[in-house]
Amino acid sequence: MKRAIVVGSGASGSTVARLLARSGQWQVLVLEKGRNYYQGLGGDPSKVTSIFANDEIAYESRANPIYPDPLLEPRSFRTSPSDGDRIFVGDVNNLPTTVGGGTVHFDAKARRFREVDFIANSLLGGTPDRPAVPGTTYADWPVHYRHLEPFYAVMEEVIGVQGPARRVGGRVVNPNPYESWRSTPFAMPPGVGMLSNLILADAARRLGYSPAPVPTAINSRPYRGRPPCCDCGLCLDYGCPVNAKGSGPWQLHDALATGRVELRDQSYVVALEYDGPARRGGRHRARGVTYLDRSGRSHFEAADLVVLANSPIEATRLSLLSGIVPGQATEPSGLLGRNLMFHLETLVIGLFDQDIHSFRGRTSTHTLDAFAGPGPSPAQFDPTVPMGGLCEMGGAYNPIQQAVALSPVSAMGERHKEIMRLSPVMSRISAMTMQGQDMPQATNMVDLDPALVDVTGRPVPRITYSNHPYELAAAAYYIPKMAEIIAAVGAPNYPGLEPVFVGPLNTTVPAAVPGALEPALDAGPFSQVPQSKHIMGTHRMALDHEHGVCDPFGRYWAFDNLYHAGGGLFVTAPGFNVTLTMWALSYWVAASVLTGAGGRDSYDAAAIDRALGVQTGVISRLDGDTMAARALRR
Amino acid sequence: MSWDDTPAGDGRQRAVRGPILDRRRFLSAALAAAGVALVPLRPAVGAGAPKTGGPAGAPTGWFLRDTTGRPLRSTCRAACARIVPSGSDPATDPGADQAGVVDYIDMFLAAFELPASVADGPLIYLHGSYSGRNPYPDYSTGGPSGTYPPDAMEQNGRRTVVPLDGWQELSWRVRLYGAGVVQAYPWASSKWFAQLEANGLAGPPGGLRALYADGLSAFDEWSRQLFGVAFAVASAEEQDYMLESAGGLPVSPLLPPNPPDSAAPPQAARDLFPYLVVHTYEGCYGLPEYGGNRGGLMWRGIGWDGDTVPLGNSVYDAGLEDPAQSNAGFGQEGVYLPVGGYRQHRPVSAPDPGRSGTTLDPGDAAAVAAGLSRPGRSAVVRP
Repeated sequence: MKRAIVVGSGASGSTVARLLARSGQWQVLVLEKGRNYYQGLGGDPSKVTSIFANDEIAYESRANPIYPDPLLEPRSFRTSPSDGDRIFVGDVNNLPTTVGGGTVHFDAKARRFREVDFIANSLLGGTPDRPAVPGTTYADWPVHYRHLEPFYAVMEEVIGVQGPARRVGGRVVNPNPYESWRSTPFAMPPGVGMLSNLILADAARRLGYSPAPVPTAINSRPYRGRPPCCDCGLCLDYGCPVNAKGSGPWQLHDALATGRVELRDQSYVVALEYDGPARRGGRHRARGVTYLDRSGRSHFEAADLVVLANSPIEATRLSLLSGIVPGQATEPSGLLGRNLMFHLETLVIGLFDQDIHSFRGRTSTHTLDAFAGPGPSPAQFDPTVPMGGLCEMGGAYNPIQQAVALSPVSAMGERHKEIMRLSPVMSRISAMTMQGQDMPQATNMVDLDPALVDVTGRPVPRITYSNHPYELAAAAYYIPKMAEIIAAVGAPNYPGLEPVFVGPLNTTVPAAVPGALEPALDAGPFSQVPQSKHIMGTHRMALDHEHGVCDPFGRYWAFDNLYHAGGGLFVTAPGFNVTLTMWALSYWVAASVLTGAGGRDSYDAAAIDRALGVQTGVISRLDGDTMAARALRR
Repeated sequence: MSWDDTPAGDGRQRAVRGPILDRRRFLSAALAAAGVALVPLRPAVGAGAPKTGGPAGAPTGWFLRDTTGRPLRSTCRAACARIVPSGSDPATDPGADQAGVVDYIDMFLAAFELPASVADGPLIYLHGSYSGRNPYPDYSTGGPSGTYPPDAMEQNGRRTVVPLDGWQELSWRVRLYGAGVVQAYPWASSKWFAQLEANGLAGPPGGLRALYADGLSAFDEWSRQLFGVAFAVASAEEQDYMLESAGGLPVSPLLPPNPPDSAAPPQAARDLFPYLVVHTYEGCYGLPEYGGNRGGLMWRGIGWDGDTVPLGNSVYDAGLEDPAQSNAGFGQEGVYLPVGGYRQHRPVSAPDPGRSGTTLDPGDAAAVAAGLSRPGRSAVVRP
């Protein structure tokens, strides 16, 4: 049996490990740098326990144990090389480092991108060598919605996604008009809506929009041996104490149950080992990896296949540490680490006169996709409308966070206590948070900091990033529309409820968004450090090695058997939460390993279309009990 | 020595500077570096801090003890009681003192030194999943079952903690004891160690324990200088004056105009203030098992439900057929239970009758929003 090493156990790594193991063709070793906070994975799902709790001190106040500790593993940041080596050291876009990765912290919005999102450059009149948006590297994806749709569908069932689209007669009916076509309904109906979301959804509906319950990878029913969500409210940043969240560990659980997977946590991969081409013009070949175990001892593990699923930033770092040099024979595109993208989070908050217990529920139960941009089908595309992002409704602080957040108003004494009793950002808040599409730019990138090291003495990633005027303009365009919705909350359906404050904030670049609350804010380094956990790019996939780091199946062009799985492959950053697309794309990558699709020196669109039938065969074979597999048979 | 081994002792030899910035997504830039959008403080009201008496379980404290010339515990206790004061009737309107915040802070500072009867390891992260305060849900009735999970976090005063790995232990020892402890971890890179100071990554100079010992002593000495009495027995107004001065907050003009040089707050007190404030909030509003917020009493005053798992707020009921939650058309047989709906044990989708009480004043709302939006200097830090 062949042996695969998967680096990272998050959304992408767990997907790849599960499929390779279920195929029966691979023995899989999953190496995870962080700790395993679960007990009992691989056995009876109802018996799996974890350390996680409704504990604000552990998961908000103290260095959250699921995250890398910036004291031990700092990163650096600068807006451009003109800043010098760096202007900030600390937590820069840290994603959880733990078994399950980012799926432990997320609140599990499981959104698909739309048809237009994969081909927006063409729709705007661009070409592969002439991006439609000046100053960017905007491009079409080598895979399109029709390729990924079956993979979206199967992952919605593997993980367990609740959502509003259902089957009526033989048809799938979707109440969200902004989404593209679907071959299957959701696995589960939507769970309980939160009042803080329902009031915004009601206002949006009265203004002519169509908000909808947000597809979420959290059980609304007992599902695959796990219980339904109880709406405890401590969701984002907290591991799920009741196991209702569809976290990465559940795919690892499936994988471990095959008996063909070994999971080693606290295993820090520090080098990729590989050989040069065996013949002139041939490809490099990964031999395995070197990692440090929990005692700091170094080990080599051999493999026939290595999949880097340790996030766009860490995959770039590991490649660079291993001598994969952009522009050299190991990385012919020269683009490794470039085109780093986040989402520009733009917030408009509403504070309400009445208590709406905003803290109860799953953070966000409704979204409005109207501002994601024109679409969803190419026929509906209007190039004059800016592409923003979906708007998440709701959001709230917990008590300690609120106490800190109120300290600028009053840090101590009776006045602080009085505002705590009013609980403005715990009980009376509901926001619209737009996850705005971020333009890819070659100058936004990850490289190794020239001096800074982690606790083991290894160079850490440096993020060089600044916003493009496109996303700032799009945010400015949509802020008044978001504010209009919040201002409309209340009668007739919620009489007596009125917003007493409506205004925009921006967590990323407060000073840069026109109309933000105080445009002349201190624009010090801190306010420019991007904080998004939606991390994309660095390993752009493309039809040929001129235009991307990886092929359309995630393979490094210069290697036979080295893959990236995850958000790194994204070509653009459509304004929807990223995890479901990471899951679908990782399924696609794993399927190509199993089918042998890929492996070429370049591709054309027809080659991807031809691969589709072979690729979806993996769904039928390995997840044949799903609606997605039945839809493929039809 | 490997990085899983535990070194002994506290070696605080090196000073490092600067807060660790802990960041989250939602509104978080504003939070982690919130600007000081000052509005005039109202005059201090309420009773002064209780002067004597120790909390149950730790009558003399673990690290914060009253010793000759260093009344750390009583000073800390009095200061916390002004940061989150009680109302005129502490029984109905409790504050930091009733919550036992000094115990919270003390157990944190002594996290690595608590006896086995108090915690089964360093009390940094409690081990979930449940406190034992809430029952399991009953999926057949949509309500609470009569069965409670075992009280996993704390049993008979003994806390169950998440054992720290070698990396976490190093990190928390640095935060508490200062960067000097790194010398006990030979596997840690010396280049990395040099950067701790240069980049301000390790928290306050000398660690939080030294910060507290020096800062509380400074408050006490300053009080004797200004008012002739120990901090703990100064009046509430005098204590407020000292805390507000140290925090750079507006103070009511208690002292004569043009105060003498001695009225300038000592640096050690100024360094402590932002940490003391956040730790007081944590001890008031965090899980009781960490030593503060006794019995969850501070949660009630702000309308927070507390920890609610495994019951939660809405309970699935396999027998319920709620048209609004209808399963019709979803999925297919065998994929998930084709019936069921939710009962909201506490309102999630609907207003909470009787919860609202006071309305939020537009002036307060605007001040809150302005505070949220401002990056820059902060009165508090996130250690």
